[in-house]
Order: sequence, then C-alpha cells, then structure tokens
Amino acid sequence: MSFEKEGFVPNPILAGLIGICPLVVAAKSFAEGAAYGLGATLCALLLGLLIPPARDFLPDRLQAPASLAISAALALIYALCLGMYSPALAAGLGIYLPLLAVSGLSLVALRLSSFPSRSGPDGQSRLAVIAMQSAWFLVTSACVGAAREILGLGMLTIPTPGASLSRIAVADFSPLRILVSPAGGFILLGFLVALYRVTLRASGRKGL
Amino acid sequence: MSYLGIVLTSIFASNALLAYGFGSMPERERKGSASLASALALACVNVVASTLLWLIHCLVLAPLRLVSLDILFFALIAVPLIKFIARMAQQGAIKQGSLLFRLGEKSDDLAVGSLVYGIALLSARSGYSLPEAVAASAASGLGYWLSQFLLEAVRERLELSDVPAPFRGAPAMLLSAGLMALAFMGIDVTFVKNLVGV
Amino acid sequence: MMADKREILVENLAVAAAIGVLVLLVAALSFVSNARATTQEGSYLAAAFSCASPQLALEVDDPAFERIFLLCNDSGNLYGSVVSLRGRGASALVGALYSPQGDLRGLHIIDSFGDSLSGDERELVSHFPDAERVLDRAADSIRNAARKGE
Repeated sequence: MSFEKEGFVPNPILAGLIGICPLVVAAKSFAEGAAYGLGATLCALLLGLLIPPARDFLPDRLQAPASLAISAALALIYALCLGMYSPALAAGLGIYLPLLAVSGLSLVALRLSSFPSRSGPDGQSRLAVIAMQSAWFLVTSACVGAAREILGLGMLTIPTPGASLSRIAVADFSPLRILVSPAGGFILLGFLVALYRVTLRASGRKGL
Repeated sequence: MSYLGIVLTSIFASNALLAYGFGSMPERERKGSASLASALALACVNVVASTLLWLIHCLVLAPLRLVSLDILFFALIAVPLIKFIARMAQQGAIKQGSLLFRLGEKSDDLAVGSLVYGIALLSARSGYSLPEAVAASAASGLGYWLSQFLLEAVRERLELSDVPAPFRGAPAMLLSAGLMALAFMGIDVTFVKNLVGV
Repeated sequence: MMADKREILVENLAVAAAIGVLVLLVAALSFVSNARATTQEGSYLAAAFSCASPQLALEVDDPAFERIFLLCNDSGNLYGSVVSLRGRGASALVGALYSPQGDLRGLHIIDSFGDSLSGDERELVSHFPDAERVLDRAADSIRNAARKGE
C-alpha cells in the first residue's frame, strides 16, 4: 500500500502489529510508553541513517552481525542516557530498554536499510518510511501507556527528570487495575486494534 | 527456589509471551509451529543463548563492572555462534526433512528476535546460578511453545466462529492472549511455593 | 588464494576494530552513568534516612541493586542500598536501611509505578513476589560490606 498515492500511512502497531508484544508489557504508564516509544524511534531513525553508509564498507558476510551490534549499541546508549535522566523510569522499563535492539521497529529499520537503493519496496524514500513508522510508534506507545494508566490507576505519570516522577491524579480510585498488568495490556490493545479497523472502514480505507 | 519451582514459574507466571511479551503472536497459520522440532528448537536455542550470556555476564562483564553491556556482547558473540550451530545442524542432517534439519532451520530463525534475547537477559540478570539459569531458560522456551500451541488452537476455533468483523484475526487473538495471561497469572510464585514447598 | 585470505583477514580486523571502538564508546558512557548513579543513590538514601555524607562501601553484581552505602546518623553506622523491585504491572525503587548485622531497619519508597506504596515491608512483599529474596540478598551483601569495613 503506497502512502504516496493515498497520503495515508498505516499505523505500524495497530495495523501492522509491529513490536506489539513488548509494547503491551513495557508501556504500562504514559511515562513508560513515551520513553519506550522514544527509544524505539531514536534507534530506528539512527539505524536508518547509519546502516546504509556502513553497508558500503562492510563485506557481505559481516553486515548482519555488525548491524546487530550497532543496534545493540544504540539501545544501550539510550538506556544509559535514560538512566541518567530518570533512574525510576529506567528501572520501570527494566530489560525492555536493552531489548530495543531487537524491537519490531528496529528490525524493520534494519531490513529496510539493507535495500541496495535509497527507495524501499514501494518506491518511497527508505528514511521517510522509517520516520513515519517511528512517529506512529511513538504516538501509539504513549497513548497506550496513558490509556492503561488513566483507566487502570486513575493517574497520569509525566516523565520529569530526577528521583521521583510527577503524577497527575485523574480519579481517586483505580477503575480497572487489571489494565496495568500484561493481561490487561493485551485486552486493551485488542480493543484498540478493533477500534482502529472500525475507524479505517468508516473513513473508506483498508488496513494492512 | 527449587528447580521445580523455577521451571513452573518460568512456564506459567513468568511466561515469555504472556507475562513478558517476548516473541510474537500467532497471527496466521504456521506449519509445524506445534511440532516437536519447534519445541526442541525453542528449548535448545534458549539454553545455548542463556548459557553463553550467563558466562559472558559472570566471567567477563561483572569483573570489569560492565554488566550493562551484556546485550552488545550477546549480539557480537552469542548470536553468530547460535546461527553457526544451527547451520551446522542443517548441514549435518542426513536428509532435508529430518528432525535435526528442522531443528537447525527453526533455530536459525529464532536466533535474532526478542524471544531469545529476552529470555537470555532474564536468566543472566535474575541472580541465578548456571544450572538454575539453564533450567529457567529451557522452561521459558517450553512455556513460549505452550502459549503458542494454545493460542494456535484458539485461533483455529475462532476462524470457525462467527466473530464480528472488526475483531477477526489479530484483535480476537490479542483478547484471547489477555485472557490466557490472566489464567497463567494465577500460577505465580506463591502458588508454586504452596505447591512444591519452596 | 593467499592474497584472498589476507584480504579477508584484513577486512575482519578492520570491522573488529570499528566494533571495538563502538564497545569502548558504550563502556565509557557506562562508567559515566555508573558514577552519576553512585552520586544519585547516595543522595536519595541521605534524604530518605536523614544521614549526612553517605560513602560507597561496596559495589555488588546483583540484578536488583548495585551499591551498598555506609550511612551515619544518630543511631550510629548503618548501611543502605537502593533496591529495584519488579512485579506484574508494578515496579518500585526502594531505599533500604540495614544494621551492620543485616537487620532491616527501614524502607523508603523513592518512586513506584503501578500503585502508591507506603514502604511497609509486608505491603512490598505482597506487591512484589521477589521482594523477600531481594531484601535477603541485600542483607547478605551488607554483612559482607560490614565485614570488609572492620
């Protein structure tokens, strides 16, 4: 589906289900969703920028391990920087920060970056495709985290620097506590994907 | 925790797919995903990966105070080694359809993905000894296979059911995974402690 | 053939050197992050337990905590650590205060995701299944630190 023809970019998570499973567990609050989404976005964009020139001087047999090493290094750099910015946020995300190296978005960026030409499979600029998907991933990740936190705990966590994160109380009770657990994340995402399809159908488009 | 407790926790309460979100959902029919080769590949690859990462973590990185770099060394050392072993298994198999060949093929596919990375990281960073890490990683691989097997069965039933159009396919699978995760949540550390005593 | 092999070796060495530079870069950032975390954790514990000038007593390779600090307050010499706890849908950074013999003297929630926690040990154990094991491991590390300090 070419977005140049229709001007429509399908959401990589809600339409393509890219990287949904770690997202479901990692993004249990707005702060964590935003941090995870930002990490995935930065890793994918930097991979899109760094891998193509690296391919030019890497022999074929070493491209895959070197690409994985670059992806792992980027994920680690982000994890260390986030730990310096907010230790609580880094502790909340835990092993999902180093796993950004093999997140769905990073693997898509690696695959697209391995194309010999600047264009991806549909003829669009490779970097533009990665940037669009990354932007969608960030927005969706933050929104899923916010929805889970507001509906699950009645509060919203803002990713401020320092020891404690700022919180805004939305309700003085926990409406659906289950939503912050992985089980609730899967259920919420199922409903969100269905809602996305209904929205697409209502606007006359088809999903992926 | 006893080895039985570690195994039960790794399969159920700490299920790789339903509790940690590693791997991917069975969106469409995959031939042989419920096969013996698939289960063996998951267990073997995770054991090899976790052992390698545990050794790198404890023998190299911990003395240098560089434990946060474990995933980088994993990508550089363990992943190429697993792919090499998988290709050796495929080449060493007597015929193309044999168990060893399919084991090698599936192991090659698994080597780069959040499942193997995630389980290896969990085992290395949980404070387990090497035998405990091996048991936990093998059990995590089998737990992932079990959740995939059950979700495949649910998917087959859903295909025959009259599901509303917006929920057909992935949304129904996600809801099923959520309900299954709820059930697995019940088999947690407290339950296992009451069951096996440790 | 010898020239091909030499060429392959040179290529491999060049890529290994490049990756080595990348590893060194990440390692350097890791050391900076470690130093900053040491300062931050010391200040969290000092603020939580009203202690002046915490000193790093021991660095530990544990998944839940990395540093043991020597804290001095009116009660004498105590030890503390910032412990990371994780459960289903919740996580917390907790400051734990111990006597040199490894007896838990106090807990202070630095931050938590999932629920508002009060710092009561039983509440932490019910929220985080691993809390008991982690606090026991911290107590062992503190006993080691106290022995080394004597």
